[in-house]
Amino acid sequence: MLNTDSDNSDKFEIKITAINITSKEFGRFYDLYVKRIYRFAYLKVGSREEAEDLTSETFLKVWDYFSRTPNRKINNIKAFFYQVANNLITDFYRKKKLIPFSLDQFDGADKLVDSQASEFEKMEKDEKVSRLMSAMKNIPENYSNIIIWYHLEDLKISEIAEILKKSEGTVRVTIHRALKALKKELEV
Amino acid sequence: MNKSELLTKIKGLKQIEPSDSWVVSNKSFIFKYIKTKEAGEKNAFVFETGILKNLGNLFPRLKNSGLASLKPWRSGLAVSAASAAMVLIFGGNFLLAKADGILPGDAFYPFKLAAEKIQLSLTLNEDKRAALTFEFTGNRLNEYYLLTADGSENGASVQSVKIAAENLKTQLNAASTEFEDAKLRLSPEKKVAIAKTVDRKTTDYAKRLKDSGGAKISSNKPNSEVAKIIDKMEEVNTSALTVLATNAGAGGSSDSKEVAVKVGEKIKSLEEKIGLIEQKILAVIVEQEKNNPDAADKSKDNLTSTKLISEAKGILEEAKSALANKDQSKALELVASSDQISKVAEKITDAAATVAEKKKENVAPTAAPAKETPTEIPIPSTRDSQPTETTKDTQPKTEANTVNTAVPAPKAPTEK
Repeated sequence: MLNTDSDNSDKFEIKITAINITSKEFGRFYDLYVKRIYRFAYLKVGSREEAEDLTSETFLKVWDYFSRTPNRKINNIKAFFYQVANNLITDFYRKKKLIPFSLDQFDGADKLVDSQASEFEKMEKDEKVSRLMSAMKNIPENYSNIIIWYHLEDLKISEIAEILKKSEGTVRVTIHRALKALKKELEV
Repeated sequence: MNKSELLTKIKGLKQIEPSDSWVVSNKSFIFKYIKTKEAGEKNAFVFETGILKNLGNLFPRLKNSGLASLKPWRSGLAVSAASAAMVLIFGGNFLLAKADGILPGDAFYPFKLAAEKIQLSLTLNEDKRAALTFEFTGNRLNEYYLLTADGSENGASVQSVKIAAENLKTQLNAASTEFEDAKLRLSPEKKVAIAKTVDRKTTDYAKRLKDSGGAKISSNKPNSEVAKIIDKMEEVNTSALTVLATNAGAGGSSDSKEVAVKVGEKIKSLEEKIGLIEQKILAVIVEQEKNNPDAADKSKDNLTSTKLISEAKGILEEAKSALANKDQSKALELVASSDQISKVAEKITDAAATVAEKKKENVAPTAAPAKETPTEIPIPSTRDSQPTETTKDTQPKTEANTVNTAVPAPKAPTEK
């Protein structure tokens, strides 16, 4: 059974002692995390199509993991989703032998922004946003991950430590350095 | 820009969201997957996803063009894509049945490769995928054989033979990658099972290549494609044996002994190879002595290769001790290290032999002295930095770890 501490979707926190979840419960995970995982994937690969694929694969992998190892303990399901997504993104680059995205790769870069365009599409065209994304591309990968998780997705330091399998102290130092690096990159 | 402005900008990225329609259709896809799994209808699901994934592999240009979204969770062209895939699959089965006779250069050859890709895409288990990629390596090897039968290329065009060799190399690299991936993810039992298959197949393939023209090509043209393929086969084989050595308990009690025998064979084979390189070095010295009696045994290249060979032999002795102490993993590591060093020595010797050969041709009284062509050959910086594939491939070529065969060589870094 699934035990949750809270139903608040934004501050959602789940501690699972024995995973024997039903598809209905997995559906709740989907609703809670699909946008977050998609956003993370998009910021890493810079393509909507690839971000969609990676998000789908993340959920399939997590489900497979649950069904294969029903009694395995997971301390933080949110961190676990990000961990799986991060691994898939690493695989994505390794297999495709791509360098992390450039602005040229952004789907929106050369598409028409018509009157029906979503806020997201308009945002893609925003020069400031493009510059921020470009700066995130130019800083080390672990820095951009940490910025996304900590400053954008509001993950706790303990959750990031769980994803990265590092101590909380190391994560704190990296958060500080990452922001400094991003700031420096934007000032160049 | 101050910190709060930057943080505001970062928060602004929250606008990035998938489209609502995708969120809904993807959820439906995932639930279909879960239901199918729960109902035990895995094959039906695999069939569907495999087809669609496969089309993505077959038609990357179509995918990249944005005309079609071929992943299974994209529903747009699913029906037509599935129909097209059915045609390919049934055609593919026919092609696979007739596959042996279809060779590079044949009109059906691209379809044969496509059918294999389909077969691979339909295989989702990582261990089975890895096994299949080595099976396909065998197919490429057979094609190469058929095209080069009797050593006279059997009427096949040189271009076809080149393609066959290139395909073999590419397929072997793909199989190696698949195996390395599987190694990271599989349980010890499955890892051992796939390593056994890889060991068996690479041993067989390398032997076949060596027994036929491959060995001749290997010894006469050290840089030939086939020699590189044999090297790669042996490298993959060592990787498989390392898995068997480190997971001996997972595959049954007899594994350890079998691995020990194989490691022993590797040591023996390398010993023979080192002996041949020593003979080559001696032959070069004799040749150089004929050309210039005073300088031959003092040649920097000869000294370097002799030192390297001595180093390789020393490491091989350590490998023997490790094997005697039942530390097979260590023994394999040392064998790989020794092998790499001996390869460098062989390259230096071959380059020196070429120079000596040129000098010999120019020995005629009126001929000007032969101009030596500098050949840069990387030398492993230390033996401890060996022997993994990664270190070999990524080892930076610096002045400190290269030898110029035409100019005085820097101090050999492997010198103790």
